Amino acid sequence: MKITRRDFIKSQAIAAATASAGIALPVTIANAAEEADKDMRWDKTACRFCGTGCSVLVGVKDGKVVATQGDPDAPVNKGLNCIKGYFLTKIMYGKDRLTKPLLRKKGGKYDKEGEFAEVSWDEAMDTMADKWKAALKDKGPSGVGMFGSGQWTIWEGYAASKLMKAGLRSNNLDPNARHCMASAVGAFMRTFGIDEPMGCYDDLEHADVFVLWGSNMAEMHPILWSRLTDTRLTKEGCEVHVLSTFTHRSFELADNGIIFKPQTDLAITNYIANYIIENKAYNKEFIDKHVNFNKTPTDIGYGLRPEHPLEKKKKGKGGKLTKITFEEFAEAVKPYTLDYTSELSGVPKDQLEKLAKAFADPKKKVTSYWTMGFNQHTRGVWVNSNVYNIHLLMGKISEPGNGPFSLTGQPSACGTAREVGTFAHRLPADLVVKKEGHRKAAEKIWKLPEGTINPKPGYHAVLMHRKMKDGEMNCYWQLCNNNLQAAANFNDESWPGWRNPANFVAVSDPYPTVSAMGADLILPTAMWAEKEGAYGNSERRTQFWRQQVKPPGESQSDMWQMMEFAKRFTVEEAWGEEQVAKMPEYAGKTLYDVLFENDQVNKFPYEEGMVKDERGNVYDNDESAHFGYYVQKGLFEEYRRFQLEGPKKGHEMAEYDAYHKARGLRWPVLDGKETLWRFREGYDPHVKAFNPDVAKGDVYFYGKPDGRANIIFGPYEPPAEAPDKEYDLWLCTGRVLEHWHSGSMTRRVPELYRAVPDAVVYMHPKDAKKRRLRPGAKIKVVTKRGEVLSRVETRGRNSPPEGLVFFPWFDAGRLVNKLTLDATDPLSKETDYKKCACKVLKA
Amino acid sequence: MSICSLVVQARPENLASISESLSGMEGVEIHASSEAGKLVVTIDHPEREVCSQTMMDMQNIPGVLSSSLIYEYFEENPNSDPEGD
Repeated sequence: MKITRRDFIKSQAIAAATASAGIALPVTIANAAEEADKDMRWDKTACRFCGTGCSVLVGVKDGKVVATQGDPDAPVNKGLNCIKGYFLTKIMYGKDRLTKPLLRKKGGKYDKEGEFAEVSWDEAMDTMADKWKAALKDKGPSGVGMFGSGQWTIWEGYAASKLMKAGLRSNNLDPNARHCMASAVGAFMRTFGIDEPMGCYDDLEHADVFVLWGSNMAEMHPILWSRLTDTRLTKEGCEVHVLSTFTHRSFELADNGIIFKPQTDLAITNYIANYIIENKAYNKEFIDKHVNFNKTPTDIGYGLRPEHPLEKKKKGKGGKLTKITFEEFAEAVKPYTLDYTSELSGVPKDQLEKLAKAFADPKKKVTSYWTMGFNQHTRGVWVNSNVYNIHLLMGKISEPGNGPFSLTGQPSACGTAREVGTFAHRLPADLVVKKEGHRKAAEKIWKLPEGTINPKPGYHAVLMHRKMKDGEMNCYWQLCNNNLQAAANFNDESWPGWRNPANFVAVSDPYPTVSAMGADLILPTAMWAEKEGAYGNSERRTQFWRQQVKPPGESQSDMWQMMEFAKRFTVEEAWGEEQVAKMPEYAGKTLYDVLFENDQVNKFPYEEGMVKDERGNVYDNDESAHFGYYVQKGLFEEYRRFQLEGPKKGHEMAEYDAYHKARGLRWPVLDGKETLWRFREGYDPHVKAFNPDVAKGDVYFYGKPDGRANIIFGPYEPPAEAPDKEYDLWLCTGRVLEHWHSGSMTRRVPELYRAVPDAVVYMHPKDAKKRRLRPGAKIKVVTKRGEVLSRVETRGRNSPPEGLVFFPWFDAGRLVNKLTLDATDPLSKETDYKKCACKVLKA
Repeated sequence: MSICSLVVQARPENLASISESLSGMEGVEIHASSEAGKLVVTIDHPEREVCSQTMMDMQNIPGVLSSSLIYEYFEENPNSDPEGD
């Protein structure tokens, strides 16, 4: 029998799968599998999609990615990939990929009302720079803004932070992670004083009980779900609790599937705390030694425009904590009885008790996971903290199997958005602009004249759109995301802001997304494996990849674009003469000179052919070839100085080259060793450094000056908008398995597009019947802000309870954000995409 | 040519019925299974669209808890495979 190439490839496929499943393999298949690799170059990359951070092997043939394999050496995914991994090979090759800069023009000149015309990079950048200079002159640094991404590579985020905060002295830099992670960040800082989870994915094998709070892990983090499923099926007594406002795929494995009324998660979390206290199940020694009790101001509004009636009505403000006693905390949660909570949440009592008992049992190790259900919440910071309260009361934290774990939705929401300081109030490595010491540290590392960094936090994502609509911020550069589709209240805020004649909007994107089409200038972007990159996943793991293929046409990476843009400003234009006078050696230089050719970023020489893997394969590095030095390494090593020399310890990473060898490392990395569980002696070397007297195996929350974490009481408060007589349904939006986020990439994959072409509205059959709607019927979804046409679906994977509809947001043709309300958590400024009121009519 | 392999995690008690459903799908072969409910499956079909649809259909078989892609290869008009099917 002749063995064909197809047989070889198939053998490779089987070999990989049996290995991942832990099943032995016939020898003939193993031998054939090796043969298939002959003409392919394989290398590791980090997946482009969610925050899990799977390592994916990419097979390149003739300059094109043709194959992928789950990386068997990766601790995260152990050879597995989710279905979206299947589309990784396709996302770069969509038919409508942009390859040239496009500027709106009329009569050969830029015109906001003109049609898109191809222009050179020079014309694109010069036009944009003119607009930015005019805005800076007119409004100062607050007149310009950049909207970045948790999908940026680490160095892209770092370069953006530096360009905006050091270069243009504007803190108007915010990432799309504001829409997904800001509440988690807020709660980490309030509770622990340092960002990101203490545990890691290893908890998936160690826990006895898993609790999913507002997370559909089965569809959104499938690889973590498969690890959780393994544990559930193989470990005696293992339980899975799933909480959501509608039934989804994760309920199939649930031992306790809980459907609660929107917003009542605040009450459920307090009920559990109350249960633990009333039954005296709490870990007294732990709370005496490691915890402070606090309350937070209440009735703090909904982050709407100040003139909104709800904002005028509020009595409280902000999030300043007040210390209280344990007894006062017990008193505060006391009203959250089983009866009251069951009544308010609509959850049967036995289900609530079952959940409470799992937490209260000192013998059971509990890991909590949550994503957007908690974070996209007008009380997102509170509800995150409420879960910490439960874990802290029980001392179930910072050890294998025990811990609260906030999952991220983007591949580098942690690594880029959070860690390098692309939020409007942050600087790299957990530093903030409002603290003088932090600014000084940044100015020293960045070699800036004193007082360069603006102490006032910039505009956050939602505020940027409001300021654009009001004509106060006139230039906006969006990179690596699709915010015109993603931001809430499209009709009243985002669209009028983008199309305001006073504003100039540039969008860097590989595809003509809703955002690109709404912009004035489109810059074609190199994506994912078309550049050397790094991401940081949910469990603090930093992962690198090399450039695998060339970007199409004239596409350039976001990093290239930002660095080239910096060449167009002199320091005098950006800083003013007075600031330059403090460092006269900078006079007449460009921002590019002082930010990037500063003898730090350009420290590592680059020559063609130097990027090699252990097998001797050679890789391109387009940016380094262009600028003449190893740009990524220079930026990363400068960033590391913030971790090593900055005022906050605990974020240390390994040197650049280590990451090209490892399958990622979880920070803090000390003496080349990663840290799996933070804050506990024996796992985290910082504990002993901060508290030399610490007992063996004890915890110390070194993010806070006294080493204690904060338990913070956050009560139930109603949502910003709830169904009434006219708008009689809850509207919840989110993702589906097949499409990632706004569908910019996944909707370019033809078969995926055909499989799930349009967003449908999932509805309870009784609600459909009441409105005389058959499955598939054309409908109009209406809120106070707009209406969208769609079709009704009463079956399928998502089954809402009566009174709620689920409408995914991936569909550029059915913009769900024409419907949503831009209510935000006043603390985290994150939008609540999960709750507003709508009605559904026959169309 | 479009070939991919997956590990399908079935509820162990449903292994038999799920195997039967999988075997009935176009281009699908089962290569191995374990008592814990894991099945090693390939999809081999000239049309990529069929592969992705099949993959998605697998997820929806009752009793399938998860399905993970392990390997995938895609090549248009592979000249190194002249004999085709």
